Amino acid sequence: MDRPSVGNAGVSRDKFIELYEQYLPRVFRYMTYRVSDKCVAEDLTSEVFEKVIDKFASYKPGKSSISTWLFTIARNTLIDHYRKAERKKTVPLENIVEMQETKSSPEEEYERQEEQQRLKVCLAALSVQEQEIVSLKFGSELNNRQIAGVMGLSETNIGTILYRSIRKLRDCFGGWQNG
Amino acid sequence: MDKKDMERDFLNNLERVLEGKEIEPGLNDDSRSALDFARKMLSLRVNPSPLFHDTLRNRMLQKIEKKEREAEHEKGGSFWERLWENWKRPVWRTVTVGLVSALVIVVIMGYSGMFTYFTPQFLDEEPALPETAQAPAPEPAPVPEPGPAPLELQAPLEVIMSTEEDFYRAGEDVAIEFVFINTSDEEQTIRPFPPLVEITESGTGETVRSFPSGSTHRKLLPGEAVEYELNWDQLDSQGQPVLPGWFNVYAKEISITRGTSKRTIVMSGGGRLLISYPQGAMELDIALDQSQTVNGVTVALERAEFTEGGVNFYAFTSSLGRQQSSRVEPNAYPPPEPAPLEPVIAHAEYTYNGVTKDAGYAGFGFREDGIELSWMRLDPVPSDAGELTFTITKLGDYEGPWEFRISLE
Repeated sequence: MDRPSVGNAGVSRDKFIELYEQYLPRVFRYMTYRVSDKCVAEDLTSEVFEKVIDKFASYKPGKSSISTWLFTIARNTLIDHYRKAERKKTVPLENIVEMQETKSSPEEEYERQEEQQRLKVCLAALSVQEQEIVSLKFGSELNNRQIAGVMGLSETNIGTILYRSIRKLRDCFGGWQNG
Repeated sequence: MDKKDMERDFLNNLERVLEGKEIEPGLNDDSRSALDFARKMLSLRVNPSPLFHDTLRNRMLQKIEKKEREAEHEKGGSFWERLWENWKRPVWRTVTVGLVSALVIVVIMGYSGMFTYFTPQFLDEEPALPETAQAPAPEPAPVPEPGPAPLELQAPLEVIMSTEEDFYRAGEDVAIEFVFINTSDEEQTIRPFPPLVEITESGTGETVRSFPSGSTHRKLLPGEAVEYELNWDQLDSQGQPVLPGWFNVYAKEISITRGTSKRTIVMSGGGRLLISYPQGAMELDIALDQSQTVNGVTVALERAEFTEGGVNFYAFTSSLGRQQSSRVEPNAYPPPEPAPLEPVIAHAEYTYNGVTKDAGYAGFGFREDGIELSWMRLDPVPSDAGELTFTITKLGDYEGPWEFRISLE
């Protein structure tokens, strides 16, 4: 049974829960690909869902899919975050080690953490546009057409940038491994 | 195979990798190794913690409820506004004035006793039942048909953790209060009660102390709250006093069973607290200009900020961040463009009064000539610490230590 919605066009509780359960992990992953601090990723994810509630009335189903709309909000939230961080000139990385629970040995755990750290650093070395596309692909699990919708680029462009970015990442990471 | 075909094959196989499928045979080595790497990129995927999931959902649903209430309120306001607008029309004004006049006349007639004679009996006493008539048995209230189990509309329990003080000095007993509020519209049972409570170091996430759960349960009516207080003597599970710093306190694995649906969900909730030094925390903002060169890599520690809430360190290096092969040859002409800066990973620790704390990995930022490194929101330092040693243990592929001694006198 659907509970009454907020006004005429607000998000109903049922609808919100459906969106939340479906998109929370994907929005959170998108954020963790772009910011390394887990707390910041959580704050930004919260901000996205606050905006979803506030702006749901402006969502037009005929114009874009819900995922495109939601990840456009997520992307803009992140852009705002980086604008603010620009003033501080730093991108915190300190909490990266908290991100995953594992049951490996301390040595394996150390190696895994360091490998993840290097992956993050390589990702951060890409251009902002490349980072965004990689994060939307790997974190948000969007297909190239949906990413094109969020980024305002053609699907072909997205494919080309992804192809180039992943090879760049591989070379960056490989260069590290080979010393 | 031209570049377009390679790109198409790569993208098709990338979708397969993301779906957890094997890469198709026949790809060239370059594409294959890039796809293997894409698989590694998936290891960066992390899920939100159950605590974050539950807490945010609860908060968002409260926000929706608030908006709904506001919308209802607005609706009420617009009704009166509409009524006023209508009343301003001549027809409605005439009708209203007529009705009010009639009412006034009726009241005056009532007070003057004109209606007394006509007062019917049924206004003064209960009607008598015929002798043969049986008083009808009260009809049982209609029992609603059990419908399909409703969707879980909101986190049914709000967990609020609080302490009396903003922070506690080392050694003081910490009175922690949890309040569990049934935010649902039906009775629920929480078990076990009291729930398991864990205290973890905020920086490392390590559990320092657990308070075991009880073996009973509590029923909560809609809106009802139950409190649980516990006292933490600041000892860890080995009986040793913990070092001052930030701690997370969570009530964990609370199982909630809803009255009619009998559905059970499990959630957690909690907050943070700060243990400060008995003598207070260092509050200083020091501009530094210390440089250390180790293995040919020079790092400058530029600033250290000490506050009641924590410590921040800022460093800078121009020795790293560019690919070795792309460094500018001094005599090259025309001088080649320098390669763009790339971030490096940097790990550090800090020591004061014989205590060493892990500062974790640095955040980074770029300047034209190098990379800024920052370690933020670390645990506070006591006010009587005379000196602090900040040590960068690793910088990119280089092992340190780059040691900086900071006088706090």
